[in-house]
Amino acid sequence: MMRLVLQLALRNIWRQRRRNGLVLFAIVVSIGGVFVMNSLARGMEQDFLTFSIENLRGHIKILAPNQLDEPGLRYSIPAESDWSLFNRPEIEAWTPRLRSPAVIMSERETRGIEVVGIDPSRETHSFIENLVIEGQSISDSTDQHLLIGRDLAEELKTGIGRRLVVLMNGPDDIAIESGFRVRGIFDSTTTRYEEAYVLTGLSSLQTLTGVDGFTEISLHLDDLDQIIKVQPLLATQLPELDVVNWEALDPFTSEMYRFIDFTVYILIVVFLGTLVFGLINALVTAVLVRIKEFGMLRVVGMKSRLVVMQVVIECVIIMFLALVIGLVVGLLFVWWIGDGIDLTAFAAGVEAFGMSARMVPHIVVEDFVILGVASVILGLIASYFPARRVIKTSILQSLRDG
Amino acid sequence: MSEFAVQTTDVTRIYGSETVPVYALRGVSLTVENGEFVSIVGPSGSGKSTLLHVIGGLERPTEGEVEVGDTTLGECSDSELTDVRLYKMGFVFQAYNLIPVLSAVENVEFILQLQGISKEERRERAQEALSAFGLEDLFDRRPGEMSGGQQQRVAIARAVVSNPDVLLADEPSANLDSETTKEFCEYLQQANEERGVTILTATHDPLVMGYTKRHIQLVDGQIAA
Repeated sequence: MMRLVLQLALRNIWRQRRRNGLVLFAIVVSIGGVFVMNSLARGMEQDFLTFSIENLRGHIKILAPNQLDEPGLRYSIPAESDWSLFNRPEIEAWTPRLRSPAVIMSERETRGIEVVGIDPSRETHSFIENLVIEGQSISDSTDQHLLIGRDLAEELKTGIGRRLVVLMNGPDDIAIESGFRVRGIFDSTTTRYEEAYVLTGLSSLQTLTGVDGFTEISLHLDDLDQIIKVQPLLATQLPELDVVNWEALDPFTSEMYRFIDFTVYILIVVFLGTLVFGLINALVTAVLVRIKEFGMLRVVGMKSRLVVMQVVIECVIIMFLALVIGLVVGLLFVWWIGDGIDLTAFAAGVEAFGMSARMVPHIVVEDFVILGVASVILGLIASYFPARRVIKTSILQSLRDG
Repeated sequence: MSEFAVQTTDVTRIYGSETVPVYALRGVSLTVENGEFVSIVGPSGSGKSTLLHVIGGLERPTEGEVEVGDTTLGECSDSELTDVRLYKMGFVFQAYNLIPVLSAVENVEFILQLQGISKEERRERAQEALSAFGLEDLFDRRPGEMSGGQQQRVAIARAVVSNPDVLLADEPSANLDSETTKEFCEYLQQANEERGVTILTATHDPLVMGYTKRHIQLVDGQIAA
C-alpha cells in the first residue's frame, strides 16, 4: 500500500512541477540562507573565542594568587613546582609567562603597556605564533631584546635597533627600570595586541626582575567542552593558585559568544517558522486544486489515513528535496566565501568588538543536523494542515468543489 | 448471499437548517434484486443523485435505513463504509473521475491494489477488464490522452474489475454524445449480463433508460412509480 501511495505522491509532485518547483525554490533559498547566515554567525562566534583565547588567555589560566585583583610581579607561581599534572590528554599545550604592567619610554613618547616574558618555543597557541614580524622575533627565553607592535612603534616613534626604557614595579614594589633594544616589530590581526603587548624572553625578564617563577600559566585544551572537566580538577590540585577559564577572564566576549550561540537558534526558528507559514499556504492551495481527486479516491475505497499519508508524503518529499538542495547550495556558498568577507572598511569597529577584520564562515555539524531535523519536522507539521483539510471536507463536497 | 442487492427503508434526507428544511428524499423504500439493471429517473432536483449517494454510503440518510447485500450501512463507521465501497460497490460518475497521474490500466488496477491483490493478478484482471470494453490498445494512455467515451469506458472497467455486488452510475451519459452513450450502455449491459453486476443508474437520458430493465421514478424526493 505504501508503494501505491508513494507512486501517487511522486507522480503528483511531477504533475504539478511548476507549482512545486516554486515551493521547492522558496524552501531551498530559506534553508540555504539560514545555513549561510548560521555559518557566518558561527564564524563570528569562533572569531570571538579565538580572539579571546589567543589573547594570552588560553582556555584555562593558572594565576598566582591575587593576580586577578592586583596584576604584577608581587605574586608569582614558583618555577620549581611539579607540572606533571598537565600531562593529560585534554591539555594540548601549556605556556608559562611572566607578565607585568609597565611604562615604556622612547626618547619622544611614553605609553602604558604590559611587558610579557615568553618562551617562544612554547607559544604555539597564542597570537604570538602567527605574528608577521619585521626584523627578528624573540629568539629564545634568554633573549633580552624587545618585540613590539607596529602601532606602539609608531606611537613611540621608534624602530628596529632603537633603545627603549621599560619601567615596572618589582616583586617588592621597588621600581625596576631597564633599557632594551628593539629586535623586531610585529603586525597582528588587531591593533589591540600591537598597542598593548611588549614581548621579551622569559628567563631574561625573570633575571631582570628577580622573580624566580611565573605570574601565569596558560593552558590550551583540545576541546572547549573539556574546560568543565579540567578546570575543577586543576583547582583541586592547585588550591593555592587561581584556576580560571577564559569566560571568567573575558566576560564581555563570553557574553557575546553566548549571545551568538543563542542567535543561531533564533535564526533557525525565525527563518523556518516564517517558511512553514508560507509552506502551509502553498500546500493548502495545492491540495484544494486537487480536492475533487482526493474525494474520488475516497469514493472508490481509499481510506482517509492513506489519503492523509499521500499528502504528508508529498510534503515531506518536497521538504526533503529542498533540504538537501538547500544545504548543498548553502555549502557551496560557504565554500565560495570560505576565505571570509572583508570587513576592513569597518576594521576599527569590529576590532573593538573583539573580532578580526575578516568574517570567515564556520560550519558546525550540530547546526547542520538541527536544521535538517527541524526542516523535516516542519515539513510534517506543514503537511498536517492540507491533509486535515482533505479529510475534513466531506466526500461529496470534495466532488462538488472540484 | 442476501436475497436482494440493495434495500432502502423509509429513507429521508434533509438538507438546510431545522427552520428551513429542504427534503431531498422523503421516505424512499425500494428493493433492487441481485442482477437487476435499474434506472432511477426523474427531473432535476428530484433526488436521484442523493438516493445514489445514500445507497453508496457517500452520505448518511437523516432517517431510514439502507442495506447493501447483508450490510446495514447505518451501523457502519466511516472506515467500514469505505470498505463497503471498496469491496461491494463500483462507481461511475458523469465526470469519469479517473486518477490523472495513472494510466488506464493503472486506474483499473487501483481498486485491486487497495484490495491488496498481487501485482500479477491485478495486472491480468485490469487488462482483461479493459479489453472487455474495447480498450486493449489504450492500456498505457493517461486520462488526459483519451476521449470522453474512452475515459468513461475505463471508468466502467474500474468499477467492475473487482466484481462488485452493485454498480452505481450517476448521470453517466451526461458528457457523452448519443453514439458514445449507446456504446457505453452496451458495455453496462454487458457488465450486467456477463458479470451479473447489479446496476443502479441515475439518469434522465431516455437512451440509457432504454437499456435498463426497471425504472424507478422519483418526483420531489418520493417514488412516484
